[in-house]
Amino acid sequence: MGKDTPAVVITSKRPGLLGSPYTVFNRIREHRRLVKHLIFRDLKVTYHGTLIGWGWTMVEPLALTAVYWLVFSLLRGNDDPVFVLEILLGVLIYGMFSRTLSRTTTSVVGNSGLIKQVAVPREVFLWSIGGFQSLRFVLSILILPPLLVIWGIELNWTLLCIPLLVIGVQSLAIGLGMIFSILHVHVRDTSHVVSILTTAGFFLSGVFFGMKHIDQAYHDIFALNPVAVYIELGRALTTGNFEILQTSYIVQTLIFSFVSLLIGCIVFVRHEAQAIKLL
Amino acid sequence: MNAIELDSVTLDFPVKGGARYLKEQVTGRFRTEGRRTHLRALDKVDLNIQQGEILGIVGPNGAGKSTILRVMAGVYSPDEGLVRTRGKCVLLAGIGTGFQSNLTGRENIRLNGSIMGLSDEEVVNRMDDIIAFSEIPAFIDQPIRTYSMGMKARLGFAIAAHLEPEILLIDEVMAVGDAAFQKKCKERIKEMVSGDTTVVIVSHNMGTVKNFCDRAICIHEGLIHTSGEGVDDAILAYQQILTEEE
Repeated sequence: MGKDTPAVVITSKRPGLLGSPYTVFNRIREHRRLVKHLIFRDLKVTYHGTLIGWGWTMVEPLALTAVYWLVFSLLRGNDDPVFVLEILLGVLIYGMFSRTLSRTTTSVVGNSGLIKQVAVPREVFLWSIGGFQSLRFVLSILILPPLLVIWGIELNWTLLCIPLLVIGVQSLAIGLGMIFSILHVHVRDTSHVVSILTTAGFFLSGVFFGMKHIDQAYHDIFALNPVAVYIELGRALTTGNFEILQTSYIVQTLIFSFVSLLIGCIVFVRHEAQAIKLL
Repeated sequence: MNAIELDSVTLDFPVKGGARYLKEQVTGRFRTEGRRTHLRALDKVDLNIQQGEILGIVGPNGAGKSTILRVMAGVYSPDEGLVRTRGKCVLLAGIGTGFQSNLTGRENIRLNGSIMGLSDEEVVNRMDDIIAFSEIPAFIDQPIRTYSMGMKARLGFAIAAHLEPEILLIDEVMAVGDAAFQKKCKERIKEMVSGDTTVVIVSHNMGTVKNFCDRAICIHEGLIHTSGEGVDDAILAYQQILTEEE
């Protein structure tokens, strides 16, 4: 240790409202290697002992597609492949959001052993969950191009914008997760409430239906649900059909996600020090 | 130069959790009803530890020994006062925390090393030494769930022993594995403390404190109770507290 070794000073002072998001992004940037290790840990642990490993990320949606096709095409007589594609996208996008939200909610309590022993920024655990679920989603949608070719749907360049959709969805999920994770330390009922909310959200976010199935008079209300808009956006990016999705809905959803992330960072940075004492 | 400085550090733990605590935190209505809502774990503690010094902390259970170590490590932020540390700081407590049972020993070294602050390159460079120190090379590519408790502890200590920190905080982790491995651990800790490393040891074992430490303090109810600064003074203060409690 040289004389010029910079001192690390720890006080009770927390960053201000604007400083909190900056603090979180800075900590994640500094610990990006650890985030990467935790993402690959989750990937290995999730598919440990399986025959095809992370190949399940693609087999699962393929199997779902087969089931939806069977149910809707054979039993209900709807042979429009776009309908099956839309449901598949709904399930995948909502799955990414709900898994990220529910797992980030329990992540501080779940990693309490480690959190009490090692001085790593606790945001790392939440963001690595977001990273893992994003990776899982990206691997899943690799089945889309071949499916589109088989179904005779034109491949559109807008498909390349899917990563932007992932960023939007995960900003929303991680932002909410940062708030709920602190709340969960204080009130352990939080995880159960989140579980109920995500189950209800599955049926309210247009996974099995779309904006086109709703009366236009209710579109504005439907678009207040950011996950529903993201699902609709995912469908539009895949098919290249943006007729029903107004730009204002996309903009308001992106703003909502961004604000959620900012509020999540502020709540987390300002309250985690006290929350950790309750672990 | 001081490697660690604690300046009037106060730390409170909430006595109760749950919705009621949350409500009070949100409304800011603490201590308004005359009931104790907090337990003071550290009360305006001042402490300077010089670079290269080996400090022992003794005290009865619940005195605040582990808490002060976690404050130094940055796990807990003080409610008042400030903590200043210079150099890479590692807390050895609960050996093997964060091990994933389905990952192999080698994968866990990579993950645990990363959590403890090693870069990828440092983990690669130290991998062989860690495996050799753990004395379980035949099992290193087996999942950790197949390891005995002793093997996990060995691997955990082997990783901790190769972190090469500038400040080492040790919380009762001397007794790991069988007698032969314990001896090896103690020798390794001696090696680590013989250099420039600043070390703080929390222990109930007075022999350990006498053997390793240059100086010791006794903590009780969040306060430092030591008449002098020598190891014997701290041990004497500790014994007096135990006698008073009996």
